[in-house]
Amino acid sequence: MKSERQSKVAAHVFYQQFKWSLWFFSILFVIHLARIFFLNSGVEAVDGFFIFAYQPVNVFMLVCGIMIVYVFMGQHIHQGISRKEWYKGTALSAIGLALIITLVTLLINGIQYVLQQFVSLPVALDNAIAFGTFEGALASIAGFYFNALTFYMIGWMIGIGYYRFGWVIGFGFVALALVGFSLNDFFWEGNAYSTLLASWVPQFTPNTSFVVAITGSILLIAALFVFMVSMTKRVTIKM
Amino acid sequence: MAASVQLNHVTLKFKKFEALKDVTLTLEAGKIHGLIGRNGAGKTSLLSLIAAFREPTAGEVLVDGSPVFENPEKMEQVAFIYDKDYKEETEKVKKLVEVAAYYRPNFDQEFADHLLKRFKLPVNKPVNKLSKGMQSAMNVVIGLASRAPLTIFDEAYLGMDAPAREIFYKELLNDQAEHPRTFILSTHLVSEMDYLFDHVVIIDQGTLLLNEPYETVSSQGASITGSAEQVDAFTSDMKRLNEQQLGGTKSVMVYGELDDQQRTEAHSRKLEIGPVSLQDLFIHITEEEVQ
Repeated sequence: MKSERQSKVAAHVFYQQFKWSLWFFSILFVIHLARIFFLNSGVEAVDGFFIFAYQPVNVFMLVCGIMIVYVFMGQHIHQGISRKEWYKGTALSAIGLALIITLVTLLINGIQYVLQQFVSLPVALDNAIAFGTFEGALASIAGFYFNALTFYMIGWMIGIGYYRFGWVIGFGFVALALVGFSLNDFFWEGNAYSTLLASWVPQFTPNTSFVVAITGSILLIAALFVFMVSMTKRVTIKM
Repeated sequence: MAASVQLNHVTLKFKKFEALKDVTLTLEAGKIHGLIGRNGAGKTSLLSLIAAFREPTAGEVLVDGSPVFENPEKMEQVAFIYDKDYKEETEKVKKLVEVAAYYRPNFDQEFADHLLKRFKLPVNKPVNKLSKGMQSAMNVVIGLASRAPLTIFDEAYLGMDAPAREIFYKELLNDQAEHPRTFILSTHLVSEMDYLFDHVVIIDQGTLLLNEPYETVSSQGASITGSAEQVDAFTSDMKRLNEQQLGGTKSVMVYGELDDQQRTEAHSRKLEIGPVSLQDLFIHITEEEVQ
């Protein structure tokens, strides 16, 4: 019974957010086409969809994460779901959503690649990352997935911070989110120096290893999951 | 399926304000309980604890003998319907009913459809575009059709016009006859809803004042009707709650049970004795508390 309810939450949250993502991808794809056909310099290659989508997807996931608390948590707990079941269901759906979003991005990238073979585009596309060497592609896809999930989790953290503690302490959660972003940047882009961590840990060396990136990223995500359990466990539901 | 409720020495504090003070009470399964209290008495606080929306500061809240907070089996049994703010709710009525149907194991879709029709609810309209009364009717539909073993309506009728409220009460009683469960109806429309109650709970300023079967409560007073002179003579030593006069006929509500001697005396004075209204008792009891 217990697992049935959390699966129901997972399915419901996943399905709703998947619908949001379809809107998001439609708009993103239109912008991408506009870039290819109208907003290009004609000289430099335009990023392929996979590379282009990377930052917008992260922002989308962040917003989704912030919204789940306000849109679904109260609604589901009002229907007799326990906080723990809601947490587990939502965590599952987050893992699934990040995956499906990575796959949809790859799919659109693939469609774009196939189209490119038949249609002559006004500008060259840089598809290097997704269709480069196998190792490079796999690393990019993993990076894409873990970044999407991290942004979602950080959004969730901000959402619950505001929901539980109100605006003032909520800002503290935004600060915490910035630490999360910095760590994530450090793992994946090695540029933590440009962000918050630099002032705290001056000896940090930028990371360039994929193994370190993936390990660090998984640890960060795990830490966020654990933090969300403690934030959700006894939260008072707003009326 | 019906669930019982038990509160043991429950206190709820918001910073320094005590919303509930050491409340101990039992609500029997399968009955309709009327929860009555003035504004700010602590009704909603009490109900939000039973629905596990929050934890008590002290004491325990049990549903069917087990603590309800974060207890999935117990939380599933409780439906708490209250005057929710739908300003931001852009989903259609249909969608919100679907969410309840999806999560509530005893949800009856046919009954929901029947109620939607009875209340003439536009199912394809966004909820924030509905009138207050329509939003309340939608809440009532969800609350009744969910058939949760413990169903709580906290002033669920707000904004509903008299005919709609009448539909609500009738449907509730009909469904209770066929699918008995435990209802808690919190209200201050006492005179309108008292016939629904099997049991009455009165709270005031966070404390429990009364928790009795309806008959016991209504026997705690009487209405005396007759010629003004006789009524005044008869009730001169009694605690008067309310009086009305029309020409030479007077009706006085008194507090306290009448003994046999008093009844005989009333009879000899040609006075009629009737039950006291819960409304008058409620006003009296809570006013006394304030003094």
